[in-house]
Amino acid sequence: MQISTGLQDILANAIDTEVGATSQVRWYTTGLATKLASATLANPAFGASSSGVITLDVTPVIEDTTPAAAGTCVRLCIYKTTAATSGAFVLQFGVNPTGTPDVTMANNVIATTDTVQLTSLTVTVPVGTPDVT
Amino acid sequence: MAEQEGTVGQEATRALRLEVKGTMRIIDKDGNVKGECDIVALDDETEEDQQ
Repeated sequence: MQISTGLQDILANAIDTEVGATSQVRWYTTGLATKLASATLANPAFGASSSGVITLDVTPVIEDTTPAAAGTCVRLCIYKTTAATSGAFVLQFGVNPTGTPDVTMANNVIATTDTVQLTSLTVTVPVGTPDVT
Repeated sequence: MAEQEGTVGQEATRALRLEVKGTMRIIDKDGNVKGECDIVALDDETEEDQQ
């Protein structure tokens, strides 16, 4: 299946709309049990879609220089409001040192004296292709 | 001619799966990078915690 560039952009921009004006990135332990670190995203968080691709605004740097707790990071999530509960994410990624997770990080243990940064993020709505096989 | 029905299958829905790429890092108090990595995700992955 193939979709138009216009529809790609509509779908990609809808992600940014859902993320909203007061969004955060948060790093959690397994099961979203403990929030280790968080940082506020820009408003809007992503730039306008181009060919189905939205890019996170990382200027200024998205970082937490004083993590709230120490622990092993297993989840990276984007939230649409700073007041959201841990389960109310818009995007959620798995973090693990091994296997084939969304985020493969050799050292995923966060200390309260660390700085945690989200340095880039793009989301793509693929164009697809008509498949006759 | 008999009426034909078609089914929109898994391959069609896969065209809409999101692709996410990015980077994150953890820096210790001395400024050393403890961990720096790529974020690569497709929205059809449903793996549970591996720890």
